[in-house]
Amino acid sequence: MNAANQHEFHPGAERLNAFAEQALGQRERAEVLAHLAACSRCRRVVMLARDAADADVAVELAAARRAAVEPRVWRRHWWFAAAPAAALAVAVALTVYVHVRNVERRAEVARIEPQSQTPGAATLPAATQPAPEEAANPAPLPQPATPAARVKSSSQSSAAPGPAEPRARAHTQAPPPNVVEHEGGVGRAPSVEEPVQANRLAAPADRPAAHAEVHGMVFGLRHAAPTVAPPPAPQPPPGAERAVSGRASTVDKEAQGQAAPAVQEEAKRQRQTETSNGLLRAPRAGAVSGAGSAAASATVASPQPPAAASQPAAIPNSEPARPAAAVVKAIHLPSGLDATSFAGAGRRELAIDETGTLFLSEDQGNTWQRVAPQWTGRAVQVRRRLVTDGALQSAPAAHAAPEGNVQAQAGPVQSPMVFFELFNDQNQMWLSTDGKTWTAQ
Amino acid sequence: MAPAESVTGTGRAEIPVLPAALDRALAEELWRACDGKSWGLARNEFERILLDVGTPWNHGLAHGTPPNAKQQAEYFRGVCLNDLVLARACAAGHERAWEQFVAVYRQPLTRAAIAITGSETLGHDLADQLYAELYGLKLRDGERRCPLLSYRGRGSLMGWLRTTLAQRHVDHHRRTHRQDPLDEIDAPAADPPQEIPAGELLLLTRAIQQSVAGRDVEERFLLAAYYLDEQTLFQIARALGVHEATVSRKLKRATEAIRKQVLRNLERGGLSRRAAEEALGIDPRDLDTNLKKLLQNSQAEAFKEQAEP
Repeated sequence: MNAANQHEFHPGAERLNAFAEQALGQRERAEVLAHLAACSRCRRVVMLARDAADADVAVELAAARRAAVEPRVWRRHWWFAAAPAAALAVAVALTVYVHVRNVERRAEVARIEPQSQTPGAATLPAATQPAPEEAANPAPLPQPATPAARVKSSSQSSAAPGPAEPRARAHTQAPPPNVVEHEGGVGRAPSVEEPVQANRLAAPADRPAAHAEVHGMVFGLRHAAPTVAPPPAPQPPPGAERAVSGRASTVDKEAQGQAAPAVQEEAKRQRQTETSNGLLRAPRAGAVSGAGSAAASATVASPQPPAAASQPAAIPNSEPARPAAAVVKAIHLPSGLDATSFAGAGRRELAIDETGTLFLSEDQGNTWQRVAPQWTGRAVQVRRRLVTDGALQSAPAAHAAPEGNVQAQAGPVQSPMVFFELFNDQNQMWLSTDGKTWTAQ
Repeated sequence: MAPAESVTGTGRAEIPVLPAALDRALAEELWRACDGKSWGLARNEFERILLDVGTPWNHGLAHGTPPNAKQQAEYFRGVCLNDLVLARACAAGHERAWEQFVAVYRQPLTRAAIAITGSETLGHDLADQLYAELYGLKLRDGERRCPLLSYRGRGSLMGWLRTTLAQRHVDHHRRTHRQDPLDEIDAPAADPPQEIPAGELLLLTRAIQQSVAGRDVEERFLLAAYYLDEQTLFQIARALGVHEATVSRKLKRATEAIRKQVLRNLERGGLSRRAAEEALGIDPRDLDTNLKKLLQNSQAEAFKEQAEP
C-alpha cells in the first residue's frame, strides 16, 4: 500500500486523539505510531490537533491571567494617576492659598479705603493741628502750597460720610483748629513731621486720612491716582468723640488744647518749617504718595537747617503709638507678634513688633526679614519722611544718596526722597534710606 | 429531538448488548461517579454505553482474553467517563446534555477550527459543518448518523473534537490540493549530465533503501516528521509526549545509524571504505531514491477501520 491509497485506512479520531493524549496502551500506541511513520496525512492531523490544543490553552491562560492581573493593573494605574493628581492638588492648594491671601489684603485695603474718603476734618492728623499761637498768627502760606491741599483726603472731605463709617463720621465732629483755619480756600495744610506711622497707628475709623495715607504709601505705586482738587473743608459737626487709642488720643487732646507740650512744640516747629520754605506739599505728592495722599508727613520737606533737621522728632512718651487693628492684621511678621509701628514707601515697608524688633519687607509686606539692631535702647516707632533735593542738601551725609534718588534730579518738579526714621524708647532717632542701614542722628 | 432519537436507535442497533460481561459492582460505582443522571441518561443506557466502549477493544486486552473485574475497572478508569457520558447523551438527544455541550464546547470548537484552518472564515465554516453533523443532520443509509457515537472515551472529548476537525480539514485540503493549477509550480531544472557511474549510483540507492527500511517505526516517524513534514522538534515531542531533547537525540542517533548502515551496505556491495565514503558525497539529486516512499512504506494495513465520515 502506498501513500496514495492510504486515505481509506487511517486510524479514527478516537485513536489519533488517544495517541496524542498518551491514552493508548503500548501495543495500540505502537500500531498507531507505525501508521504515523508511514502516513503523512495522519501526522498532519495529529500535529494540527496539537497546535489547536496549544492555541486553546494559550487563549485560556491569557484570559485567566488577564482576569487575575486586571485588578492589580488597575491599582497600579491608579497609583500612577495619583502622582499627577497629587501634584494638581498641591498646585490648586497653592493657588487657593495665594488667592485667599490676596483677597484678605484687598479686603483690608477695601476696609481702609472707604474710611479715607471721610470728611477731611477727621483726616487731619494731630500733628497737623497748629499750635494755639499759630492759629492766632498764622504764617502766610505761599502759593505753591495751595496744591498741597490737593490731597485725597481733603478733596474727599466734603463727601458725606457713608453709613458704614459711623466711627469716622463721629470723629469728624471734632474738628481740629487748623481745619477751621484752612477752610478759607487755602485748604488744609499738610502738617509737618506727621509720621506715616502715626497715621497708620491710629485706628482706621478714627483716622481716615491716615488710612488714606497708608493706602497711598503701601499701594500707591500700584495704582497712582491723580491729584484731586481740594474742595473746601467741611464744617465739622460738634460733639467729636474721643479717639480710640494711641496717637489718636493725643490728637484729640491736642484738638482740645490739651496736647502734650512736646507735641505742641513739635507741631509748631514743623509748621514754621513748612511755611518758611513754602513746601507744604511735595511737588509730586500725587505720584509719591500714591493716591494723592493728603497726609502732611508724606509731603514734608526738610526746611530747617541741617542742625535743626537732624533734631529728632518729639515722641510723646506718655502714649506710644500703636498700630490700628486693621493694619496690624495686614502685617504678618515672622516673630508672630503684632506690629506696634509701621512705615512704608513704595514696595518697602518697615514694622516694629511688640518686642522692639524691626522688620523690613521689600515686597509690600509679603515677606519680612529682621533688621539687625543698629540703635540703642528699644525701637518703638518707625516712620517715613520725604525730603526734596533742597532738603537733601541739608540731609546728613549718610543720606546724601538715598534710594529713589533718580527722582531727585533737577527739574521743574522736585522729586522727594524717602527716609525712614526710627525712634527708640529714649526719643533718639536713627535715619535710614533703605531700612537696613541706620545712622544715629 | 427526532434526529437524536434516531441516532440513538441506530447506536443501540449496532452495539452488541452483553450485560453479562460487565461487572455489576463496577457498573454501579461508575454510574455514581459520572454525570449520566444529570444529562437524563437511564441506568440501563449507561451500562449499554460501557459495553459499547469496552467490548470492541476487549477492555484493552488482546483479543480472545476474557477480562476480569479488575481489568475492566482498570480500563474504565482510563476512560474519560464524564465526557463519554455527555457525548452519548448528546447522541441520544437529551436536551440538557446538548445545553451542556453547547455551553462547554461550542466556543472551544470554533477556536480550534480557526486555529487549524488559520482563517476565521474557514474556521467558522468548518466548526459549523461539524456541529451540524454532531447534531445528527447527516444521513447514511437512510439513517441519521452522529459522529459522537464514535467517541469511546479514550482521550478527552475536546481532543477528539479537535482531531476530528483536523481530519476534515486535512482531507478537504488533500482533495482540493490536487486541483491546484500546475502553472504555479516551478518547472524543475534540467538534469545535468551524469558523470557518476551508473553501477555506483545503483549500489548507493539500494544501500539507502535497505538502511531506511531497517529502522523501527519510531525512528521512521521521527525522520518523516522532521525531514518530510518539516515539523519542529517541539511539535514532534509534543505529539509523542516526550521532551524535545529526546527527539533531537533520537533523530541524531537515527541519522548516524542510517549512515553507518549505508556505508556497511556499500562495502558489502564491493566498494572500499574510502570509495563508500566518497559515494556518500554524491549529489542527492543524482540518486534515484524517493525518501518519502521509503519512509512511508506501507505499515498501515493494521488500520482497516476507516475514519468517521
